[in-house]
Amino acid sequence: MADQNVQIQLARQPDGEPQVSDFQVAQTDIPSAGPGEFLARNIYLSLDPYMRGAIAGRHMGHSRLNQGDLIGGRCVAQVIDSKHADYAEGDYIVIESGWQQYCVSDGGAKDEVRKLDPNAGPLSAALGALGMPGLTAWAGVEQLAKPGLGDTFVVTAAAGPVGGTSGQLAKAKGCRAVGIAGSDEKCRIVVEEYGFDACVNYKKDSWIDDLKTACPDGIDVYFDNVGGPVLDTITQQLNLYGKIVMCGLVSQYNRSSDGGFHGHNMGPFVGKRAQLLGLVVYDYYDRINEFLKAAVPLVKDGRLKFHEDRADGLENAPAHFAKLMSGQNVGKAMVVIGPEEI
Amino acid sequence: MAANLQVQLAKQRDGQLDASDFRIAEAPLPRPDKGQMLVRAVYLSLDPYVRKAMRGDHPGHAVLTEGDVIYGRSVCRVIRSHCEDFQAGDYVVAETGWQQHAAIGLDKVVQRIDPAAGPLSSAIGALGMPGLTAWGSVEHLGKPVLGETLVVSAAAGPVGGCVGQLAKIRGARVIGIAGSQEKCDLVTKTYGFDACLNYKQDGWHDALKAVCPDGVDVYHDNVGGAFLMSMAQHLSLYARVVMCGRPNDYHSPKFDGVGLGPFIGRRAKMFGLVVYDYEPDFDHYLAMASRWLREGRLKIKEDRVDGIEKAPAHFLKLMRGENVGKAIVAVGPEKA
Repeated sequence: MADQNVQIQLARQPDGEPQVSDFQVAQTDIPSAGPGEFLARNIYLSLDPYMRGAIAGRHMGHSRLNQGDLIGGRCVAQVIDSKHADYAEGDYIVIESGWQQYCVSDGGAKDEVRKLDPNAGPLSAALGALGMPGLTAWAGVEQLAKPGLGDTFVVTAAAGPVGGTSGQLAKAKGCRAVGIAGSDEKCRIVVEEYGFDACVNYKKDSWIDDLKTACPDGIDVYFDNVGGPVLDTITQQLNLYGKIVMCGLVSQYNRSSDGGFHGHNMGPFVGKRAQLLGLVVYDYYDRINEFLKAAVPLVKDGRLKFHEDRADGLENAPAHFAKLMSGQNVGKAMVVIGPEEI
Repeated sequence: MAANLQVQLAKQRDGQLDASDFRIAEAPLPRPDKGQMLVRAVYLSLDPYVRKAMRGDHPGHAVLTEGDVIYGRSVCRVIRSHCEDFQAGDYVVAETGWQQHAAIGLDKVVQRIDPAAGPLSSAIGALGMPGLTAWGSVEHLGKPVLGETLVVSAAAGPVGGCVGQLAKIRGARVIGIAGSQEKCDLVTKTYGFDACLNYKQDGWHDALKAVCPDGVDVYHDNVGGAFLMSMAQHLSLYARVVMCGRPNDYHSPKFDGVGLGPFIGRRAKMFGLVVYDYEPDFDHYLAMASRWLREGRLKIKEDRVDGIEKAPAHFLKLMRGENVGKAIVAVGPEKA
């Protein structure tokens, strides 16, 4: 065990897309577990777009960070010392620990600790297809949009963990799944690895026509991970009474303090009799076992695949996050902090 | 026989209209062809959607050009009929445009009026399209249940007034939003809403919070834009929002944009409402609504002027939000 805890703190509030220089590396003492607490070492750190809004205080439940504050984030971790009745040394958990190597917790609600079954799938999947992104996808597909057999299901950021999982869940339910992603490489993963019926590269000039070709019967459900003008464009191809799951507004997360806000013309949504459904994954935390019951078998029989984009070493987290927020990542972005077993 | 007075478009343009955009003209009395009938307008309905229909931005309405009769629906009396199912003396709601007489085919007939169902003029209000709009919103989309709170904007108007009254009949608690004390009095005293707030008074958002301590479960929006966005703060989690009218967007292709982030935060379910979808429900709705009207559970308020030549000024008043109740032009007598 190292003798210092490395953590990543905010150096200054990012303006627009985050830069490596917005973060600073700091060393602190490794905390020790008091009575009713446990100490865990982090293995995988999840990087997610919502963190950009959380840093700025624009994400629900997160206040704006100041210089020197630990960046928040979720990790797969292993308990290495425990004075807590429910957690034993060697247990694998997911925990809201922040961007650091070690953390101490009393298992209370604020740390959102969840024990992992190491047999459910790869440990790192607990941050992706079998974790929050998967739960988000499941909530959008199974609880909100509820597409029927033969429906055409379209999702943006399709190579990412939410998009990729939502399309595969829709496909498993008998839908036609069509992804939208930002490079040919991402589209290849979406079709060849995830098994979508088609994927459109929205950086090509022809993407609107490509989407029409990929959706000959129109779009019944659009799972929106992007917001902004792309939402308006895709709505033009929505069928009457189509549903839109409003999941992420990535195009809005990076906006600087002085604007970039996109106001939608609601006329076309009304004309389509669209149903817009707001999705906040936190509402489904207590249903994670219901989700895992559906998803774990799909992982085991190969119908639910995932693709990870890993960086090694906590000190590389800022650069990997900047890559994620500029859309350069391919698959679930995570940082390997330490080995699974020691 | 006298000539046919009509209101025509003086020039096609975007933007807020004024009196110079309309002109009154005399046309010859139209002659019905085979399969048509001659009708005489009794009550002309004035509705905000007409502004976007004039621009060709409404389903089934081509853009108007100079000299075209302004779009509109009227309660009409059939004068002479070459249509099998109609005879002189029948009443219909029809797409006549803003004029005293029209020769129309069955494709322009919106509905036959049963004069026993209620006052003839209510066929373009609570017993017509505005009422059916409210029905679609309350029964098919918003579906407020016992113990829930519904809020509706433009509450003094025919759609807003019916939305609230239907929600009351369903057992919901109902709060209106309107633009003057006079309108708010109509909403609470005549329509029987639980409360009504004047959005032109400072602090009305706080007042709305005070009367909706558990949040708003259903919001029927007749305004759109920034106003719609400002309502997100009041929604309870998983609230339903019915998007019905956006009068500020009707004047031009410009629009008052809506950011969706606040609605995601409330986990809102937002619906677009188009009344034409509920036409198959009309007879069902009419049977219930005419009973409620007789029983006094559904109240109507009209804002009338007399004479087709007054239609432009009355329409401009409607678009400024100065009407109180359903805007109607009495074009001619009900009886022959």
